[in-house]
Amino acid sequence: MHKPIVLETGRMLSKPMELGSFDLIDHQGKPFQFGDLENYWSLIFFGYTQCPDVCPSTIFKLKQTYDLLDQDQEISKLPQVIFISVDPERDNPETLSEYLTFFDPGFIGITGDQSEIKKITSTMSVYYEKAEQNEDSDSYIMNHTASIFLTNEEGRLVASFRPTASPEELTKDIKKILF
Amino acid sequence: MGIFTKKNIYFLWCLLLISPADGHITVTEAWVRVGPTNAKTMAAYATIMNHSSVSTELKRITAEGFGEAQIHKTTMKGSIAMMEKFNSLTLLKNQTLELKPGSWHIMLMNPEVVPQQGETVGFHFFFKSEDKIKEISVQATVLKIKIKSDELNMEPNH
Repeated sequence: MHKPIVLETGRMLSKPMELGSFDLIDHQGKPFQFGDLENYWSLIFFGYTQCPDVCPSTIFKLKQTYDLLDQDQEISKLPQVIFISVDPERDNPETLSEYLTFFDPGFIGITGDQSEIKKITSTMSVYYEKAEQNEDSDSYIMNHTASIFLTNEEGRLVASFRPTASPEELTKDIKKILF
Repeated sequence: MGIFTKKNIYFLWCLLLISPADGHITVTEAWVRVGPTNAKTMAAYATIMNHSSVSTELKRITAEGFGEAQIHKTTMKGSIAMMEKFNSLTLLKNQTLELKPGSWHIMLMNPEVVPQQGETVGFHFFFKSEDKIKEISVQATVLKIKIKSDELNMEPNH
């Protein structure tokens, strides 16, 4: 009998969850749809480029995690790292491309119509909302779910990790799932 | 000798020693997290210590090369990261407050030119203690990472 995987940094879904269809755009302006999640494990994080604290911290952490996974020769294919913007008003493909290249040129940025972003965030129970609109400017911040998600090679959601986990802890848990 | 008796002089000397307005506030270990060249916002962190015997209020911060610097706090409501802006920040007497990732931080907005790793950013902190304003200026280094492990220490939202 298959022993359930216990994660130190998050939770594993009892059954992989389908994400449904969506029509988004990647940081190169190309379509990004459900099929682009297939054939790869993917680490997914929702955020926005004008986030000063949580998002850069987490993307740095994902970079460190990615590098740790890369050191493991048993992993033949590394997961994709995908950053999905919850602020499509300001995060266009060019902005995402320049932003993510700083962390790792291989990271994928996703944006698109608000309605399409809503599709995937609703499915994954990802919360986001505009907050703190300054009266004298157009600036605002976004409150958002900060969990890190993992989808399998069939593009199905299998686990979520808490953002407080260290890269070492994340790596250890991801390996439990990959192997 | 008049009013300048030994007793009076001693009394005045004691008053100076226990004067609440010694204004000893320090801002140390200031750093700015390095960001992409198109970053519109960045975050700065530091350790603020109020060594005095009265509370002090951080009223304003300015950062050279940035249009605005605001005091913010990140809190977690379950898995949701929320940021709240504060117009001021009170430190009680002898209180130390650490601004760090996932917690209190300075949100820097509208950089003229995004500073690169290794460069420094000048900060000016304005504290108010008993109607007196004290300005503390520090140089913060732009770094990729300051805390090596457990980098994101988020406090639960109560």
